[in-house]
Amino acid sequence: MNDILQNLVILQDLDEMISELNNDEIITQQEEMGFEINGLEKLIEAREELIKRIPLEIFNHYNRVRSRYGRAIAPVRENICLGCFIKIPTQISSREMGNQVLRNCENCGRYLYWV
Amino acid sequence: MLLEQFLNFFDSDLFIEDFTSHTKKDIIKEIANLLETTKKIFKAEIIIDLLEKREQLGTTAIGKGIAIPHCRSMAAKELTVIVGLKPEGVDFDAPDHHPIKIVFVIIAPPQDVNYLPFLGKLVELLRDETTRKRLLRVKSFKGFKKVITEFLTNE
Ligand SMILES: [Zn+2]
Repeated sequence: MNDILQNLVILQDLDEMISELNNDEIITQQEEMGFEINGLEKLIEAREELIKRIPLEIFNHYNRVRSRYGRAIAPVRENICLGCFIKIPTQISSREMGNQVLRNCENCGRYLYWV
Repeated sequence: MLLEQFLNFFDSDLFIEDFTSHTKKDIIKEIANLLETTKKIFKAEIIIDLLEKREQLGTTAIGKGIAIPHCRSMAAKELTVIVGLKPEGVDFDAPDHHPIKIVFVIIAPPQDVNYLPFLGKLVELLRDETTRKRLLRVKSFKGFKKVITEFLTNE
């Protein structure tokens, strides 16, 4: 798997986790179920470390797409970008092949991840 | 969440009768590797990284021998549940300091609607003392499913 893509997927999951922590309703739900939530600073530190492993221009693109659509990486299934539901023109026959290279959807610009 | 729907999330291919690992860190790896070999996820490392980060946020051990590591990840195709047993127990930084004997791992794609209802139902079931004690003694998927089914049908 492409290293940058792997880091981008982790970054997006982490960003979602961090934004959930700013949602009081979600925190309350978790606490009511018996889970401790107290390490937000550690997650923010982990994010800083992760960003260092992503080239700046890619990180900037990630932020631009994220502010436009909420998420900057779209899952792909059956060669369809699940961000905008457009078929990917390149012939890709496996998840291995799809995730070997960092690709953008030609239509919406999201980075593509074959799930 | 309907009984049958809840039960269907448990899969014998995703049931570990006895973890080979002896630490929390290695157990997370063992789970992620099983998710990769069963093709539930493309790459184990993504889930390892994320579950470790989730633990940094606060332990997912809820005490009394049970831990429920859970997170949403775009690496997940669908809501996926792994159950693993560790009869000898493993330290999971539980608030009551009890070693963990059953681990439930739940991963779901970002917008999966069943994620919270499933988690809520599972927590409810584990709060029932009789069910919890019986679960801590199960040895196989068959025995596990029997206990869960009985709780749900007697509810
Ligand atoms: Zn697209």
